[in-house]
Amino acid sequence: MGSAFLVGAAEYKARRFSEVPTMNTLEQAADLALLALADAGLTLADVDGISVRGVYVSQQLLPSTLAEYLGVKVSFGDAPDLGGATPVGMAWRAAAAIERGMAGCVLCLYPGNYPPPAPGSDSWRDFGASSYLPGSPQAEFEIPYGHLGQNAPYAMIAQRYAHVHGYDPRAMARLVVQQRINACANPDAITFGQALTEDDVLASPMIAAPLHMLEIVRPVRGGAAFIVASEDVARRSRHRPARIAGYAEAIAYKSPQFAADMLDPPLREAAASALAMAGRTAAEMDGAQIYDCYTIAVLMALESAGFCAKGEGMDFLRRRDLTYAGDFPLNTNGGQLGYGQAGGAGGVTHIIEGYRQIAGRAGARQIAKCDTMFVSGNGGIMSEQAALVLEGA
Amino acid sequence: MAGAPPIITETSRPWWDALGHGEIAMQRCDSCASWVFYPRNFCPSCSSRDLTWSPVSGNATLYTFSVAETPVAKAFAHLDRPVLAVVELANGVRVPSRLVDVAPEDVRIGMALEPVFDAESYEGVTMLLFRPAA
Repeated sequence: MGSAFLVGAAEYKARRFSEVPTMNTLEQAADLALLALADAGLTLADVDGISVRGVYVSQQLLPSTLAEYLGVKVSFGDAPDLGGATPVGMAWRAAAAIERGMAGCVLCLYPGNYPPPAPGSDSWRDFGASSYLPGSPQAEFEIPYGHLGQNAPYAMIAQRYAHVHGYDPRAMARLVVQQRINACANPDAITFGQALTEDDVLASPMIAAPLHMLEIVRPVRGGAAFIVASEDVARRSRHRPARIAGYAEAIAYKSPQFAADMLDPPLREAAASALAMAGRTAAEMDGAQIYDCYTIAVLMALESAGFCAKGEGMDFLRRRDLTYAGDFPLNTNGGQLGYGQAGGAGGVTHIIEGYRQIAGRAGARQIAKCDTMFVSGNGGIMSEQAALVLEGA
Repeated sequence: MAGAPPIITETSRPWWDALGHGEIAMQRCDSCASWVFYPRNFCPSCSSRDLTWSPVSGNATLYTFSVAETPVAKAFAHLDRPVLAVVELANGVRVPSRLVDVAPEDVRIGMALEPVFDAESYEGVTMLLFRPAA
């Protein structure tokens, strides 16, 4: 079987929510496609696969909607449903299709702008990712008690962590500050130019203890796209490709309330499988792009992926230099905590940054030597989880 | 009505009926004796379709919790700093719930709890809340 490579990407600069885009989400998807192809030195004529989410002009059949709009005929169409892990899901599904010879050049598109809420349709705004439809377990056993949204369940995980392993608010604040240092080296980040101290983090409003406001992602407008290509196509592309050397996914529950162990998320299996597929260990990674909707999500991922032992995450955060110039470069473009979370495209940012670091295209925040990168995706409340291992080709 | 009442299914009707009588009942697998929660039409442990509703003790401990300092949703803005909880019953099953009769500052993981059968939150249905054990 052949290999699959990341060969190009495009990412909109993070913008404030008040800046309403002029393009609708279908137009944005096409715009991102053209930008990513140009970045790779490819054209629409090369495209034979489409993976797409975040296009709200239609509620279904997105791959065909895009094929028609772009004027291409594809042999692979996909629209994974994995929450924040969707982009990693797009990448590995595209890689698997390419490895089987089913496609040679897959566009992965994710406009990150929410549509304005439709009048009379408050369901998403009121209940978020929880379903209040008849027959939904959440509609019967979670929502009626107020178990809703992301803040409360992530705080529940953090409370449990504190009970079992202990908790250091300042270590978590340090994580935010270090990612902010990275964001300040990235002019596209929403927090560019806004330095931060640990005291700032700890002084920000408590949203759901122990989570402060600055430990939680800030929604922004944006959008992103990347291209997964075969070796033949990669050879024709413009920059150093990043081989998708390992990948895996793990899903066990929608709500962590029903996890067998709230502190043992499915990423443990996904990361181990992805590293094994690549024939690598966590210690061999030159950096990591970890899905960071909350500080606690990063801590759990670092432990689950094996970058540190279970229960030692706080010490890891205190001890290591997590900046792009540090001894464990983490979320080097600022992550979502620094860049902003452009809806579902928030999970694309980690893939694109991993690619750019390996391609040597990360500008002021370039890691000195970067040939391997671990990327994680996390959907829902640590429920859909997936991992990629990237290698310089 | 404030909040969002449970959308009850036929499969889980006995759960709600039991709460209405001040009791907790849960499905148990006839084949492998696993407790099944939330209610289902089969046992996720062994795939048996033969489940029997059985009484369950309300003695419980707190597995984890979160105090919502800001409302979780518009529909729940009437609750002041609700203590959202995951409660472990004596049979080992964990249920999502909420704690009452306790100040958020006094909540501790592992604390002993007892059930509160709450017929006030929603009309015509009894919810399973918990408070510190007497």
